[in-house]
Amino acid sequence: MNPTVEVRGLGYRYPGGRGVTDISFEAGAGEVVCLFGWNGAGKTTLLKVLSTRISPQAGSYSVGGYEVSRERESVRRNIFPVFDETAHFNHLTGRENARFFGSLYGMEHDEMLDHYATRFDLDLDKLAGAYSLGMKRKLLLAEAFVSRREVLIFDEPTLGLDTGMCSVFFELVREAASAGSCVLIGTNRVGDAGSSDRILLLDQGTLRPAASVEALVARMTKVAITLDDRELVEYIPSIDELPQLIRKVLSLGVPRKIEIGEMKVSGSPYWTNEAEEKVRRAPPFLHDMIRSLVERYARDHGCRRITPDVVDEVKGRFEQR
Amino acid sequence: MTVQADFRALAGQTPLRVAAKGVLSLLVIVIAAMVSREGPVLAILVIFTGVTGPTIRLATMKMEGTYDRIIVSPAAKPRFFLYFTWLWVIAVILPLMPAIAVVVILAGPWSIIPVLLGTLLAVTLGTLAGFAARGLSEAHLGAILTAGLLIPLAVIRTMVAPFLPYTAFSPVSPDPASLAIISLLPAVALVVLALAVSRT
Repeated sequence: MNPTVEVRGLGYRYPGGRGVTDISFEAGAGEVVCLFGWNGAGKTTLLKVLSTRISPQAGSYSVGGYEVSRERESVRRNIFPVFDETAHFNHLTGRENARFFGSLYGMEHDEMLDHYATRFDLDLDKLAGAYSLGMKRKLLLAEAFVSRREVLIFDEPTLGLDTGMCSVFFELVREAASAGSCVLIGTNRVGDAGSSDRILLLDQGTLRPAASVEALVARMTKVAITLDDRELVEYIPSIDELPQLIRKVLSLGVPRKIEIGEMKVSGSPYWTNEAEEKVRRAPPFLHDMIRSLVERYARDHGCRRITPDVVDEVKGRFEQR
Repeated sequence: MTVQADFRALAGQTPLRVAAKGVLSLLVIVIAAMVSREGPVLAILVIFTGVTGPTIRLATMKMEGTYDRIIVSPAAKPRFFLYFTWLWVIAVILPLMPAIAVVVILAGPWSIIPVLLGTLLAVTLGTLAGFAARGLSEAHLGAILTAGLLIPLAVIRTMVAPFLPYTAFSPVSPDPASLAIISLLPAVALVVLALAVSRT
């Protein structure tokens, strides 16, 4: 059977040198493929090429047998891309937006739209300008599922969605795949990647050998951050990248709780009272994080006792970054 | 989608904004009419609002991401941009209706033809400028340059003047030759627009 999506030696470089090179893969009808990579790996560039937003500088790309360089409009008829931005007219309601963009695809599916809006718990009769980030994302995702295209392309689809809505999204992805759509998902979240049939690992603009979720997670640290209204679960490749993540989270609001990796492991080092006191002086929501960082540092450096010096050492390293 | 809904989406006008522009342009035209300059002043209003409106709207849509969604959709791009132009001709003329009525009363019924053709030319050039601009600042620059070039050409007698629909708001001769000549530039601008957007 012919693949729905066929990519051969695809390349696109920005003037600064970043982009993607020599990308080749195939994806079939009913398949959910994840393009996984860290920030700057080239996912968005690749998805922009696949969604015909930019033209490839090298290689070929076809959808349903239509080659993008020769039959771009036919490719566009068969895909529905969802970018990582919230692209709506703020002065129109969610329904009016969905109708407008649906009309560009020749669609008039109000009943289907209502069905998906209900699944996403979305009020379509509110102005899009009054939507939160998560609601705007849900509207975009609902529009994609209503479109029932041969290929659905999602860039960071769970951005702004809470845990429950992420599950709804992946249920709908499975339904779309069962109905014959090929679904391409670009993400840097391991949880999202785990819901796909196949993972293509994108690193520094090229595809690495196919990876399993287990292989991806192996060298990563899980960070669970509880904000007022939702829980974020991120995976970061090394503890060194934690300060950046914490800074990003703090910019969103004060988290109620931050947990890193495995909180309790056998053979945890012993805390002295003075070291405990030092941790208590930090803001309460940072206690768990500091404890976790210090314990990890102590284990890595073979410290059996956690003294105030160890706490200071870790805090000093954290502040340097 | 209805034309009315498309108008709200693409022209981004609200009844309040249209009414405010209508009152303001009427005031300006009445003052200009007192010194017999209603023709050139209407030309300036048409050019300025006709060029800047679609240019800034397209640049805003690019910033919102709605422009990219339209471009990657299967909708035929020349058809879409010509539809956008048509909606913007309405968006420019609607608030200028009272001002146009004053000019038509003073200059004669045939003056409506250069108003319509002039709006079409300004909006088409504005759409082209918005299409070419990569950001809001480029859009502003493009709109100012286009309108800034067109306004002196329209209100000062130059070699190009006979081809511009605005040259005479005094009764235009209804003979077919002069109508064909003043229709030339808007038609050329529309063809250039359709060709420019066809490869997006």
